[in-house]
Amino acid sequence: MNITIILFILLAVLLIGALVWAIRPPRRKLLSINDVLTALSEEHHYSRLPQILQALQPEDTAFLRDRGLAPLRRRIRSQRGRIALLYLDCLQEEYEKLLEASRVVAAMSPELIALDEAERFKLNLRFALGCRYLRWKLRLGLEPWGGFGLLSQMASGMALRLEGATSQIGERTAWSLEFSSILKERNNGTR
Amino acid sequence: MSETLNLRNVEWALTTITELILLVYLLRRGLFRSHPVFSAYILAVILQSVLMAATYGIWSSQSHRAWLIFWLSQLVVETARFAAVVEVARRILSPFSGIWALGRRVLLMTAGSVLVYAALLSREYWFKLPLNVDRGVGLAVATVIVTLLLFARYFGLPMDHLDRSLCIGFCLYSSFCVINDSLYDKWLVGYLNFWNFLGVLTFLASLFLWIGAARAYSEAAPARAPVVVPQELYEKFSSELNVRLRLLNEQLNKFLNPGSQR
Repeated sequence: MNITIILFILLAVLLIGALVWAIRPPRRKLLSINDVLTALSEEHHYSRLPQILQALQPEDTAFLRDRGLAPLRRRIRSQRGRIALLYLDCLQEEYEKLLEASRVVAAMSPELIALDEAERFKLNLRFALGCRYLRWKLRLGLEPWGGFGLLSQMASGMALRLEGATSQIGERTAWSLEFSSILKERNNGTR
Repeated sequence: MSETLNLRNVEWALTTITELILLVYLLRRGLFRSHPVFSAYILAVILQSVLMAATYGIWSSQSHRAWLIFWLSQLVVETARFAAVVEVARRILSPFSGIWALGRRVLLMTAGSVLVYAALLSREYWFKLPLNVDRGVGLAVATVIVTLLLFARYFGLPMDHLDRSLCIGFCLYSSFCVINDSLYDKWLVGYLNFWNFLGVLTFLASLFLWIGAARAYSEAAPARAPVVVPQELYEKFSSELNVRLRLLNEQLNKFLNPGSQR
């Protein structure tokens, strides 16, 4: 059988499949401009990470085993696993909101920065895959946090990054005001 | 014409009538103003049918002249089809100047790559050039449509029912063209009529889809007047959003690879 012919047919079938997927009504709710501003100014979950990581450390509950309370330790660990899943839900929700906000802003921009958009697309893929993988690991009771000995180092690394981000985010209020006034002006102009 | 009225001729007549009905709808609803290239494409398809009927009446359908006339007219129709797809893409993306600027480059690159890919795959079969061109254009059109729809979905762009139906019709027809051309190329050389029958059938399905959308088309569709923000503001938002998204990604990575902390 000719490989060229098979490739062509396969591509066409894949394209029909992609078409069916692409024309499905979108599940996500489109954000308004106000939602974009809210998404940018909302409190985020970064600050909870050290506690979550700490709670997931096996050493954190090791003393229960030493005292002969293994069943209690298991229950606590399972509860902490559920909390980690909830945290992951929040993380994903925040991520999706930010991504949606970026799309709203992109739709309003006179010219897009292709690199920024490509990076967002790449980040989105990575996050979606990573999130799914981690969720399954947590559900199956596996321990994705095997190397938590580096916890403090990680937390400090995150703190540094957060500091950088916060300094950028600090300008947000000014932009939001500017943004709102532009929209207001435009709305008045179109009326 | 000495040919008997077989299934293929009935199908051909039905398709031409359907094309005419669609053209009437396009004219009556004033859609030739908003979709001039698509209207021209439908007109080109009708003219091709008339031309081929006349050609087969004068010369035999197996003659070299008929073959040449068919593929030359097909080239015109293929070009019109591609132009109609570009028109739909422009209608969907152009109200959003930033997305349109990026989208047209992506779509152009996609179409170019697919055409080159199809040409490379078919280079050993240059003697089947018309069939390969047909297949290459079909693949490019279907890929461009799918990319366009994914783009629109990713950015949550509005799309009216007619443009959506045009996309679906073009993509389905083009994909089936690729499959038909490939099957014909390999296995169905002895079944020319059957091959033609399948090709026309898929086009007929697209025509019905377009007629339905043209009939339902409403002049009172909401005007597309998206808000435009200054470029600097987009750049600021864009970089901040990316920082935030990167941070969230890093959080996830810490769960997955706690040892990879830099």
